[in-house]
Amino acid sequence: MSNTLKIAKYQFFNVLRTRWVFVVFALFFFLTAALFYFGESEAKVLVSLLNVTLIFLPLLSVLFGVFYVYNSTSFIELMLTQPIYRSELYGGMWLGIVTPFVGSFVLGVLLPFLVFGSWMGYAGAFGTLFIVGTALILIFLSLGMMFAIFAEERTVGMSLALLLWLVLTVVYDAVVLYLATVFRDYPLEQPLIAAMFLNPVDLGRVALLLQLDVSALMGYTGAVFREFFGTSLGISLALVALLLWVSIPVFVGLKRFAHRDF
Amino acid sequence: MEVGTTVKRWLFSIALLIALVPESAQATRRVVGEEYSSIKAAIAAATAGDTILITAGHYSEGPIHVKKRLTILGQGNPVVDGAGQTEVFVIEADSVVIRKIVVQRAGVSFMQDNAGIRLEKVQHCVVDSCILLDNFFGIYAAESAFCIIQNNTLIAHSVREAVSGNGIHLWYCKGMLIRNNRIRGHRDGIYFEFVQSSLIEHNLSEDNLRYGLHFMFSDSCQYRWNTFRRNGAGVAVMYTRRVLMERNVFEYNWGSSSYGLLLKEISDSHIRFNRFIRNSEGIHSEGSSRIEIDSNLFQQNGWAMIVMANSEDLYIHHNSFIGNSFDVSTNSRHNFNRFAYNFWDQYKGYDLDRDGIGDVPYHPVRLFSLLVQQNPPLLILLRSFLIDLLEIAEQVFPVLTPETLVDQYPLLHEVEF
Repeated sequence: MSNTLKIAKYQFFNVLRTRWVFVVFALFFFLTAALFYFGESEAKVLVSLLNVTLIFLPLLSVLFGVFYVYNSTSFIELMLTQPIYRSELYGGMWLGIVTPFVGSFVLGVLLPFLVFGSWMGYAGAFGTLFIVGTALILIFLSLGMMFAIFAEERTVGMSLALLLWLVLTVVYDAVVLYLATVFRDYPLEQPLIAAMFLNPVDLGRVALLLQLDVSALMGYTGAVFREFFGTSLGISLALVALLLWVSIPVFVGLKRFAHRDF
Repeated sequence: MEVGTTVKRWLFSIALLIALVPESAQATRRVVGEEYSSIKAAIAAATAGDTILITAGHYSEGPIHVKKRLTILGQGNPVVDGAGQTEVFVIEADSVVIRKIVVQRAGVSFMQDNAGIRLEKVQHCVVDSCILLDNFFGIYAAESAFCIIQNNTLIAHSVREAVSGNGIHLWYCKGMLIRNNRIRGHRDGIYFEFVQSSLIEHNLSEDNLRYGLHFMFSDSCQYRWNTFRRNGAGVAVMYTRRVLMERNVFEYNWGSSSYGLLLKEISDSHIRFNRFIRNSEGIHSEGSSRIEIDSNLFQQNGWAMIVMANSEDLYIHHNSFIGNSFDVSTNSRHNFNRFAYNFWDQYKGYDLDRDGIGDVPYHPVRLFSLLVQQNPPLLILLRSFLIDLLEIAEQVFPVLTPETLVDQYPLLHEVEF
C-alpha cells in the first residue's frame, strides 16, 4: 500500500509538471469567472458549464489518460525492475493522475463561484455538477489508460480513445433518438431510462437536467423520469452505475497490465 | 372601452354604499349572544337597515336566510358552523353587508352547490374580512350585480375534484369586484362563468386542486395584481372576449396539463406586465385571436409559450424570455402570429449598429421542441450535444420548424418594467 502511495505521490507532482492540469483548471476557472463577471445568472452559468463538463472534460481526460501512459513507458519499464507488485504500480499511477485532474476541475469551478455566485438555491445544482464532473474524469481517465495499456501502437490507442469519446457524446444519442423514433408507438420511458444508464455522459446529463429543467420535466413523461431519478433508489442506482463505469476499465486495464510484456 | 365603464360602475356602487353607512349606524343594533341566543332569531326580529352584531361564540345554525337589508358584523371572530350538512349564509336582499365572521363547514352536496356565503339575485352587497374554512363552496354569487367581495380568507382541504367546490364562484354576474382575498385548497380558486364587466385584483389563489382562476364566457373583465401559485392546472381563461390581464404572477404550476395561463378561444384581449415563473407551460394558446401579449416576463418555465396553429393575430412583443427550457413551441409549420422586439436569452446574434436590436432574426421554435411534441419521452435527450448539433443544422436549413415564426427585431437587453 505504501508503495502505491509513494508512486501516486511521485505521479501527482509529475502530472502537475505537465501543462494539462493547468489547462483544465484555467478552462473552468476563466469560463466560470467570465460568465459570472458578465453578469450571467447562476442558472445560465450552470448551463454553459454543463456543456463544457459533458463534452470537453471527457475529451481532455481520455486523451490525457492515453498520452500519459505512452509517455511513461520508460518509467514503467524502470519501475518494473523494482521489487513491487504490478497492481501497486498501476494503482499508484491511476491515483497520481486522477487526483490533480479532479482537483483542478473542482477548484476551477469552485473559486469563481465562491467569489461571484450565491449558494442560495444553487448549491444542489453545483454539487451535482461536481459529482458528475468528477465521475466523468475518473471514467475517461481510466478508459484512456486502459486503451493505452491494450494498444501498443500509439496511434491505435489514440484513435480508440477518440472514437469512444465520439460514440459516448454523439453517436450513442443519435442511436437512441433513431430507435425512439422508430418505436414511438410503444411506451418508451423505461427503456430510455435504461439507455441512459449505459452511457455515463447521458447519466451525468440527466442528473444535471433534474436540477436545471425541473419545469419542463414536470410534464407527464418528465414526471416519470423525475420520479425515478429523484428517489433515493434512482440516485443510488445512478451512483452504482457510475462506479461500475469507473471500476470496469480500471479492473480490465489492471488485468492486462499485470500480464503485458513491456 | 367597456372596461372603463365597469370601473365607473363599481366606483359608483362603492359611493352608494358609503352613502348608506350613516343610515345603518342610526338604525337598531341587535347583539347576538346577549339579547338574542341565535342569529336566526336576531334576523327575524330585525327590520331593514338594522345591524346584527354577532359576539364571539360558536353558532351551529343551518341555512341562515337574510331577506332584509342588514349589516351583519362579527366581533371577536364568531364561528358560524354548517356542521357539514347545510348551507350557512344565504343573502337574498340587496345591500347586505357581512363582515368579520368565521363561516365554516358548509356541507358537501351532490344536489346543490352549498356555500359558506351565497349571494342569490342581489345587488350592492359586501362580503368583507370573513374567514371561510372547509366549506364546500366558499362564496357563491348567482345572478348578482355590483357586489364587493374583499379581504376574505378561504381555506379548504380538498382531496378529490368531484367532492370539492370552488372558493369564490360567480355565475351570471356583472360589475363585481373581487379584491384582496386569499384562497387555498378549493377545487377552483376563483370561478367565473357568464360574468361581465368585473374586476379581480390583488388576490392570492394557491394550492387549489384544479385552476387558480377558471374563467369562461366572461366578457369585458379584467384581472390584475393577482398571484396564482401551485394550482393543479394553473389558470384557464376560455371562450371570452375583451379581457385585460395585467401585473399578475403565475408561478409553480407544474404538471402534464398544467399551464401558467391557458387561453382557449380568447379574442380581443390584452396580456401585459405579468410574470410567468417556473410553470410547465407559461402561456398555452389555443384558437385565440387578436391578443396583444407584451411586456411580460417568462422565466424558467418548461415551455414559455405554446402557440397552437389555430391561433391567429397574436402580437407578442417586448417580453423577456429567460432561462426557459423551450421558448416557443407550436404544432405546425404555418404561423399567423407576429413576434417582435422580445428579449430572448438564447439569442446569439450581434448588433453592429448598436441600436439595441439584434441584426439577425431569432427563431424561437427549436427543432427539438417539435420532436418532443411528437414523441414526449424524447425529452430525456434535452441538452444533449447531438441535439445541439441538429439545432445548428436546422437553423442553417430550416426543414421542420416554421420559417415565418420569427422575431425580426430581437432585443439585446431584458425589458425593464
